[in-house]
Amino acid sequence: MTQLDITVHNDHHRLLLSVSGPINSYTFTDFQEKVYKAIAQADTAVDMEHVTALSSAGIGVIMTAMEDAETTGHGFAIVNPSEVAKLAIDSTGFGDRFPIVKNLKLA
Amino acid sequence: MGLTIIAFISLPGFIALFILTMRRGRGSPGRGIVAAISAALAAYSLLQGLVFILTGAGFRQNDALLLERLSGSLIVATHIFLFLLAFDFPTPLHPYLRRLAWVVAVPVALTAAYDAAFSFDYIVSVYRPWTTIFRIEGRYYNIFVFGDALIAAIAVAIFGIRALAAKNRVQRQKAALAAAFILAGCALIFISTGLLSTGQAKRPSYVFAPAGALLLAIGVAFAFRISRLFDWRAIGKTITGYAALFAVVGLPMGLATAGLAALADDVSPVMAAILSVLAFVGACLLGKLFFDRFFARLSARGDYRERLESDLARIDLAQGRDAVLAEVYGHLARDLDFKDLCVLIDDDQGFLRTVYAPTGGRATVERGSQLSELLEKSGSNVILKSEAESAADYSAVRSELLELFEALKAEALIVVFEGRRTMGLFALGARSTGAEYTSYDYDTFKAIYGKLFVIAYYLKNIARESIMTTVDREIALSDQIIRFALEKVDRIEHPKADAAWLAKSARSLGGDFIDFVRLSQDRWFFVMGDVSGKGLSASMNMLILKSMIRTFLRVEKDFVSLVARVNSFIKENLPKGTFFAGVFGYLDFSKDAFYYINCGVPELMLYTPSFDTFIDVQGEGRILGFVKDVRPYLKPRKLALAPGSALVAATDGMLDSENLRGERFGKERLARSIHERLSLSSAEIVAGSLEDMLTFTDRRQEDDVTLFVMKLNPRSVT
Repeated sequence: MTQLDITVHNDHHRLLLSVSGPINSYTFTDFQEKVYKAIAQADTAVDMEHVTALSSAGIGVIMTAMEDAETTGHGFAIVNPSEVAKLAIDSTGFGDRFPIVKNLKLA
Repeated sequence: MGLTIIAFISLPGFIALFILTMRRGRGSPGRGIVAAISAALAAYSLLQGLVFILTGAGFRQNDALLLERLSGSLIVATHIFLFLLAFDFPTPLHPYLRRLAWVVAVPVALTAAYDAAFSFDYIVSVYRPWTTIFRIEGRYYNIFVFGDALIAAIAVAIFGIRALAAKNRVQRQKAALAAAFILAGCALIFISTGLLSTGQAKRPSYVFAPAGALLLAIGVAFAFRISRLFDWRAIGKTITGYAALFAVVGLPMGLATAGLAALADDVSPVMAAILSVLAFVGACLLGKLFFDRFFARLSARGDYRERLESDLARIDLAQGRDAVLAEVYGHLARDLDFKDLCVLIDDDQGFLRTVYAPTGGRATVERGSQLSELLEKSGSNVILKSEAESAADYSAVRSELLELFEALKAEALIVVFEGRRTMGLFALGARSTGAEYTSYDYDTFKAIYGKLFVIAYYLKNIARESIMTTVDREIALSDQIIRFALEKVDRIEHPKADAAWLAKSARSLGGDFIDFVRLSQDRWFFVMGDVSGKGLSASMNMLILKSMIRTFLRVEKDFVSLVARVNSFIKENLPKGTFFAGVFGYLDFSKDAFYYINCGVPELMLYTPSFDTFIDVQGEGRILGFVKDVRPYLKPRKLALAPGSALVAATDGMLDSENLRGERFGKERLARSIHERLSLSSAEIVAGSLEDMLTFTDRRQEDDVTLFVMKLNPRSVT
């Protein structure tokens, strides 16, 4: 899969972004736009179960979203990241600082 | 010892003030007198301490008495110095007036000081019944004390008049500060020594006098050193905020706690303690609530700094030079309320030239000129016009510097350095309200320095007209940046090693970089990694980071501190979400060692000939730019470089490249690819490994690839 597919659900005043496909050099802009827009509006959860690649650009978007969440006072969570996404997050050395949850109820 | 301890504590403070004034006040009016005040008060506090010791058992009382009287002479001398200072500071008055002041003051000082030291007029005896010194005062004691106060009052009055008459706002502030601190310090001395009488001419309260002296010395030295205007509005707002916090929360809760404790104490002391703790916790919670809701509005936090930082960081450099400059101008002019902005950039031909001046105002600064040398030597990032007019640091080039301010129609200069070399100047004009830049503005200029560095770097190295016409501008610019970054490295050329590296960008859009800096014949600094993001922005960040690392390398001698500074730079100055994943290292061939800090490099491995295999040596690593202070996470390591071994480092672009089946190239394939070519040169190894990777991916390359290989010669060469 080379296309990135992002669907946005409004779930009880929270926004859930379901992401499928690779977040890499060519696709991260779309991911960036949707995540930044969501976090500015409401509590946001990003379901990364079907992410097939997560590059440094994608990690940068998540880092920014975490900072924006702190600034705006909105919640932000990464839901059930795929193995490859979890590996990329852990490769930063700060994996324990990313707001990762197993399912949306905990988000 | 009692309160005499104040004298001992004050002594180092006076000495420090004396040294600071002498070292940093060169060329400033009043320097000698300000230093003399600190020296006199240092001697005074020392004598006060000695008096305490000599009034103890086993010492002659006469020695203590002599030192006590001498300390009185020093207080007289200090007051005379304050009087003389009023004629020299903040600017020297007419020479006749200054001479007249000396003619009047010196005989008075000598007479009073002699009388205090060598007669019974000032102090008759001194003794220490317990922990506090008591003095029997002489019959003219009050004349000394009130005389000192009168001299101080005259000095305060002169400073007050000078503050009102000064046209320059900084000079006005200096005179007003001097008046205020002399008033406060001398009042404390006067109250301690003259007003709090026990009715028996014995005043234990005089042990507070050194505290007044310290306040006086600090205040005068502060007024002497200050060269920027305070933001009185911001200070007033902050004080108001704290006062409101005290009035609304602190005072009522304090009274409530005291009342509850008093009531409960009748029942049980334990109950009183519990209620006090509960009231204290309640006060803390209320205080926090108040702080979060109202304090930010009352204090000065609502000002423009954060907005300006954020706006400058969001400027899209890909929009082109003119648009970038216009946007910079727009943000600065809106928040600082000025009209004139000039930007000067190094033209690489020996001049800083004006590249932007929408309202006129042009200048050229020649590299090597006295002014340019001073700018580079001082290393000051921000110079206010008020500083240029009064600070001693600029006395050697004051007229040239003020001419530059005039030519650029500027009130503040932000000087951008690349290493120690001036790369650019941002000259900010006068505010339309006529108000001068304050210390808040000064701190803001410091805060936005990193952003302006980025803009200056862009203007100097990237935004060239020839490139701007390219159809695919972003790719062209990015490509130019990458080539620029990769060309400027000190290659490792040493008899003990054969090193080679390869950096291949994916569609010229990336943030990978590698850099070597030769430190000596046998030592190289090494950094390799990936700056997050893609496109022009990532390339710019990579180039900026490379430049900053070289800058930090010149000034930072500690390896961990260097990496920590790089982390802070990324966190504070590069766009949000930017991080660096890589490795920093020192190669020391004289010790056959490689010292390194892993900052998230995906692969660092060592080939050991004795086992004929590769070993992962990168260990745990943390990326830079994620946390504010990365120092606790940094773990320097050392690797012995045995003859015949080989060091390999690779970024994620190589390891994560996938074939059509979605399999990663990975560490094992990389190790195998290099192992097969170990008999070849390092250059052939990196080229061969890249070819293997491209074959594996069917010649697709999704990400930047950087690979470094260094083979240690089998025989150690000495």
